[in-house]
Amino acid sequence: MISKENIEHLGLLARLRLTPKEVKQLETQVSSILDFVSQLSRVDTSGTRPTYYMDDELNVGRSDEAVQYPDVEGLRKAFSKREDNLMKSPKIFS
Amino acid sequence: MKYTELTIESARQGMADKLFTAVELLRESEVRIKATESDLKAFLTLTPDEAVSALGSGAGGELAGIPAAIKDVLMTKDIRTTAASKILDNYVASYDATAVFRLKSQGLVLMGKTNCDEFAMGGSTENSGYYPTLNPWDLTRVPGGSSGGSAAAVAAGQVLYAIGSDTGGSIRQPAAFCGVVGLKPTYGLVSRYGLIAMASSLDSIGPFTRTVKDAAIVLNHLAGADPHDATTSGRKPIDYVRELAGDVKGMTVGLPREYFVEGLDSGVREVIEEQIKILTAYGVKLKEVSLPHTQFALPVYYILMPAEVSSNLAKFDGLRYGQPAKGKFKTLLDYYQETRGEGFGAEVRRRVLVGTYVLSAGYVDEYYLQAQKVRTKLIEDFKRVFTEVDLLLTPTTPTTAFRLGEKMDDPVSMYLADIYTVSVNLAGLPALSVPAGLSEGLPVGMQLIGPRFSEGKIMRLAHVYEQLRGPFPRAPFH
Repeated sequence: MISKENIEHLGLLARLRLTPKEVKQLETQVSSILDFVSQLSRVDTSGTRPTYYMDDELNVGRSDEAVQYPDVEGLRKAFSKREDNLMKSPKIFS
Repeated sequence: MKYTELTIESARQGMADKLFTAVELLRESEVRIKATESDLKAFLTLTPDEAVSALGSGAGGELAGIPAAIKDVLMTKDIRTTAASKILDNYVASYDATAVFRLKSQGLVLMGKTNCDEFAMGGSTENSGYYPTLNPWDLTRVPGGSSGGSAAAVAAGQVLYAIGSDTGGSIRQPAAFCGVVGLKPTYGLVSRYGLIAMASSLDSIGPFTRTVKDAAIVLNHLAGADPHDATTSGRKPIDYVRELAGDVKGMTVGLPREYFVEGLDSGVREVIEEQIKILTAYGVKLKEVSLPHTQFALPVYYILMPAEVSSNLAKFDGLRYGQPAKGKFKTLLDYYQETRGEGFGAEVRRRVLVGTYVLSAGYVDEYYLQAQKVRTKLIEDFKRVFTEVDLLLTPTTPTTAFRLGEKMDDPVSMYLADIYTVSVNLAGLPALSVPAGLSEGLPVGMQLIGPRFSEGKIMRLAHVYEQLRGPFPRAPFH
């Protein structure tokens, strides 16, 4: 139902490096999960609206005010690589 | 009184009566953790300094002096917070989750952060990136999951209460497996701010305790609107301890016939049927009801949850969050793929892939949209049933705790352990698991489900039930 190429493509979309052994395992496992969930196609949902929110709390708003985050340094400490106050990333263009 | 026999209520009374002090309670908790932790492995990080300084601060509050634990998916400022994932191995939270902040304002004595399935994905804690937690009733069995560490810590008498999160059953199922009370509140009652999100439309935060009254005490300090979480409800706060007082005679409880079918273990069924008789004898009315879309709840869950997982976990890329993979990378794409491939465990990778698939162009209508429509049908089932009955009563799980390794190779069989709990998350309802008896020496949980924001009513019935049942045995452990 789902091919090796499908799994490899999903790995790329999801930014996951998969080993060849894992691609093989996932072929079987993801197929069995999709088989399992496919039974939903049997349910007649014509005229049924999808649920995106719980019905009783719509349009919760707040005032549009900027608030200073109390511990910016705490956030910077979580950077994997840092130069002064900036986060360092690998090169984007090679 | 022995430390392992205490509840929040009796510990508070004991301190008020000067039978023992908060410092003595803390020592008892440390001793108990030391004696049991090498077998149990309920914790990922112990926080002795945090606990001592909470006492030293002299801050009052209803939870002051009471040893507690928090699942490692909740942010705790300046404390390592891993979500049981290697990708967050070194991560230190820069702020407190609202739930943690509120407990701190009541004197939280934090003994440590508990183990769970990685990013709360699983039903056994075997998916933890570190080690599995074991069940204090039988060390060859799982404590359930994903909040297995929190459930085991309370069941083994390490702490008096613990906090967990429940996306498809992750509080109620381990509570059932470990013989403690576990409450999953209404979606929107407890702020999710600072919870490392798994599936944002399903996640809720709630307590593990030894009694229903303790659960009410803790819920009083978790519930309430939060400007940091727009999905929290602005309803007037309720005192859940006061709610316990009313009568339940004449209350109508529904038994959904779809929950008492093939697949339900006969030992579990016997225990639940026995407890139903006790409630009927007391004066609770029973009615058989039907939730016809129940069989579709798991398939809906295993589409919507991975879809939300795949988007929520995109931020763990080695830049915004997460420990980068070692080595040099030619491109940013390499860097992302290596970091995520190496940092995430097998179940997380599986769910991210499935989520990516069901959201991809060409499949989104067939899977995701159809699942959201069937979700509406599930919600309508509950709404209709709650015009006929006050609450629903079901087993929490189809079996008692299973053996380690038993379901690890077959994801779908692991998913079936959540069959009685997922519908509740999909409909945003509250539900509680209360220990109902033993089957072959292992605890069985009874689940009570109510309409949105009916925690008071659920806990009132569970509280009455607890008195009728009598004291529940403690885990035969050390």
